[in-house]
Amino acid sequence: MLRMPQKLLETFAKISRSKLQAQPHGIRSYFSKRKKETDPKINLEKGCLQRSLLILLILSLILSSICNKAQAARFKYAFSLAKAPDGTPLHHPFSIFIDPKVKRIYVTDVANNRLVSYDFAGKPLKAFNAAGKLKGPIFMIKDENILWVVERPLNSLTLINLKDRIFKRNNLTWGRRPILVDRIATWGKNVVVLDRASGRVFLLNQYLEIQKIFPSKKLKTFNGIYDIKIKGNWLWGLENMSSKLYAFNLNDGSFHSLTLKKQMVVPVSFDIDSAGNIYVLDRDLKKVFVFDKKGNFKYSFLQEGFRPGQDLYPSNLVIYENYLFLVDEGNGRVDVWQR
Amino acid sequence: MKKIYLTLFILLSIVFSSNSWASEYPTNDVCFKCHKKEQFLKGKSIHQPVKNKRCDKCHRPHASKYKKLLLVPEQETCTTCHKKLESKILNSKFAHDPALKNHCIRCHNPHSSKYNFLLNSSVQATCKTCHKKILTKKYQFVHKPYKDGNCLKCHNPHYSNDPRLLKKNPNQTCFSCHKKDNKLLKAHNGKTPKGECLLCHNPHGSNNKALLRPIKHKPFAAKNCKACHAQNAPKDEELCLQCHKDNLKTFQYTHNHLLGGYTQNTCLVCHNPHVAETKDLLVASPEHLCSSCHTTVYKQKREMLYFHPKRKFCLECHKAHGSNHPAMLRADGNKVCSRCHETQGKFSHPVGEKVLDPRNKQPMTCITCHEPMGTNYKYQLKMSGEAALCLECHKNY
Repeated sequence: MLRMPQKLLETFAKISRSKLQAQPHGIRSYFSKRKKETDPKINLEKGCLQRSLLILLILSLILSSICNKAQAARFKYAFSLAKAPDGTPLHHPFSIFIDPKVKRIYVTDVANNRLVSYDFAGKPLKAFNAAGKLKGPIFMIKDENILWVVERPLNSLTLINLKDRIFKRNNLTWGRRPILVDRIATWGKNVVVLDRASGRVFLLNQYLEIQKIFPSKKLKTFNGIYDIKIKGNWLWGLENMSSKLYAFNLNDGSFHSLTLKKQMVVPVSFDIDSAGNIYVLDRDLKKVFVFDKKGNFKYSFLQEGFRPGQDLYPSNLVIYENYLFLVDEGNGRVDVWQR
Repeated sequence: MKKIYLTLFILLSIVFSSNSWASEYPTNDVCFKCHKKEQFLKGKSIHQPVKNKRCDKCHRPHASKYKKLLLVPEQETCTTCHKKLESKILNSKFAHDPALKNHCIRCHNPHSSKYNFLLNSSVQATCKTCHKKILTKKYQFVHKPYKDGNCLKCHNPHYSNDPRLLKKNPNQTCFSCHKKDNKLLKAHNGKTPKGECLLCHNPHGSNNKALLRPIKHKPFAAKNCKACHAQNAPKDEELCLQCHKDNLKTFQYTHNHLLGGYTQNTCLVCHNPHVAETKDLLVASPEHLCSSCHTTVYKQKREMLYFHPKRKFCLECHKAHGSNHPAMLRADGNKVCSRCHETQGKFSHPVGEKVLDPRNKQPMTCITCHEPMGTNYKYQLKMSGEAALCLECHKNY
């Protein structure tokens, strides 16, 4: 063993002694306080209060850790939506829409020219094809009795009023050029439409008049939007063939961008959960990539295959509460993941 | 002090003894008693181990499991020393096929050669052994490096970030010889060319002056620049749609390739508005053009053993603008294959709308079992055809 020189030890002891004496709230004062506390004359009620506060503190710590764990919990495959009420399988389903008011899931069953609704237990409820009028519906949104459906073969944003039995096809234009309607969403009474031809997003009123265009200015590095999601007053957009997300303020048009720190190949859809985690679906890699609020890569999941919980040609991803819906065109089903 | 002397003595003895071990290796002199020396030491470039009289670096003198008495399999022999090159090839975006598969001796002689880089023959002759179609074409106007057979002036024979295995990015490659001067401006109507040189010029040769590519866009051929470059002309895809009106309908499918906003004019992601090698005025061959975005497709080819022989002709099976079928196929998974594989279309494992895959209840098609883009199983099967693939559905067998 190494031995410290005697002189060095002595100087060290001197310094430590002088420090203790110099500090009024040092170790000595702490011990004197402890003596006072252990005195039997101290009030019993004060002790009970301190103990209960301590228990509360511990309980809150345990609860918060449980909550954090629940938030960070990963999605696990739960069940699939694969059949219509008549038992026929879905063929090339492309997207889903969730109506939070009536708690229904709507799937666009493109090759069968119909929309199919389900409850949250996965039970098929109704299949709707507007008396055979619907052609290749790829996206839909619903607001009470009004349905907006994108009929891709006709490039129409079709209005279906279920109450008044109105079926009206609309071909949108921006100036002289036609809008190739793709993803749609609602914001209040407005309809938000992504134009596949220009990569821009249009905010339309209920009469389908253009109110705003996103981005409103010409941006230097803007490469067009591929998928959109509405979160409160913010329109989120996933950029074409890149790892960039844009967030546009629907009121004033201001925007932020966030670069996701992971190279992907063909990202086609995305969503954001309540904790702010970003989920991006890559169609070529057939995987879902998960990022935190700052865009840092956390993990990825999903595997190519035919069995439930695996995917062939995934096309759309939607998160609602504790559910993650993944539309798989190749396997003809919507896989529901739960946490 | 005694201890220091002792350690010094031990160290020195180790150094000297190691030299004495080295001398125990069989030198070339032993080998050349039987093998003709001239065969291995001819030419100006000699491989370092041969030069250092170390045949044993690659060969065993007595017996070996491998051909030519090699220490390790032929494909691993070169990379035992050339590790840096191997890692660069593996980590690159695009790699030359023989380099990737460690078929080094396709181009190089492992002993000696009268050509640089231990090549089997001259650079041009080496490249020509495989790239016959490209390198035997005759042009009226020929690029000098191509004429001189100096392929390595522009290409890296092992790896690159460019699918054409260019040494640098395309414009950097061109401007490493050509100057950005008045001559260049004059040739481009007084404007600095913005795009990639290779979009319009064939770097090997052409029957057109200035090595322009052969197929011309009508307005360009008629020298009617203002048809597109008029002052008030739109700068986005609307410009193209003014003449090609019906083309918008080709995108009205569930899947389409319209990436609005990706560039100012989306059409120019794939098409060249001036000249090209193909009728569709594509900016590159479909193999290179498609894999520049769909990098997984390139990786798949790189890593898989079996793939469709017409794999590089992407547009044979896939539509370029839009399709209602996944993977933008020209038809469903049966029709698209049975256009060529007629017999299999009529007589094979039952397929079609009425035969459902028990795993996903979707109609069985050819691509339920085959993956023409590439797999590690014969006939491009998705799993082993011995049992695993069949057992996916026929569990009781």
